[in-house]
Amino acid sequence: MTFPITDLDGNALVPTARSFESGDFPVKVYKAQNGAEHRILYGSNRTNMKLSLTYANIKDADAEQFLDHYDTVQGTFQTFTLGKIDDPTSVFHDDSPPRSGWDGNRDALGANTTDNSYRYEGPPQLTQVRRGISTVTVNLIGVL
Amino acid sequence: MSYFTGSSGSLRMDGKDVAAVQSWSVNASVSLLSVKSLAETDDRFIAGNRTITGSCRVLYYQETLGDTGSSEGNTNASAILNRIFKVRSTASDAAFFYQGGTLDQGDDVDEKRLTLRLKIDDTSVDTANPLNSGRYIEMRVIITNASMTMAVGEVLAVDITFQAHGAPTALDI
Repeated sequence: MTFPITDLDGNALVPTARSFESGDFPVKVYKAQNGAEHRILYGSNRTNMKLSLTYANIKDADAEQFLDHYDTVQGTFQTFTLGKIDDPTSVFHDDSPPRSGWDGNRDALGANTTDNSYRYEGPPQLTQVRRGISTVTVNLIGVL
Repeated sequence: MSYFTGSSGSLRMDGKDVAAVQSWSVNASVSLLSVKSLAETDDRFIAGNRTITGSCRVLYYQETLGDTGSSEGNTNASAILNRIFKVRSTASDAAFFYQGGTLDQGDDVDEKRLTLRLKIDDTSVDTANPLNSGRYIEMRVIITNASMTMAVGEVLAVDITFQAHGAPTALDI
């Protein structure tokens, strides 16, 4: 099961709010007694990027997809990619709905361009708004 | 084509007409939940929940001097006031230990709500049930506010606001 990018009606599942931290390269910083800073670069790939997606007021059945996916990837254990919509008739064709609305370089919000994959940082947070409608927030973290 | 004025309006509370009603109003509003996602430019909504509130103004009068109760089978302003103004309980109940009184507003004990029917008398008659004649919105409500002001040059009246508990119980409007 891939990360949910379409609702059960086949429409793109686009978040209503998104925040992103671009992570960092694996750098170790040492401070000498004289105050000089020494930095050692341990890797060539940026990692630890954090992507938070909120899907407000979606149907419970669509919200359940995130809970099911969290279970499929064994919680915070397995990694995954966000995926694209392959349907050529969709306005989101060849686009990743979680990144929709971002007009900058598509790769900037991704993890796989730096050989990272996303995994869940924690369990999806679900808030029931009214009968049949819920808000889901998922927090993802990029790992090598 | 028929139009209606205040003379066609009336109000019933728990099955009895309320006497000397000067006005009533009712307001239904639906809260909205935004479903606008990133990349969209215009708001889209789904309905969240509905709230029905209303108000009425009832003139305070006494059918005969000193009579503050219901008269001629009607409910008057005094009877409405007694739905919300409550004397402190003398019962040795822990719930009333701090000089509290009951919050019951209905006819029955432990009944917190009452039934209001806002009516428009359009001269139509329901022969099977005359009480259902005319057009109406009937709902279970809780009186949320009652105020009365005594002032020189004005008739004493009670202003009531209420909020519906659930959807209307009967509707023909």
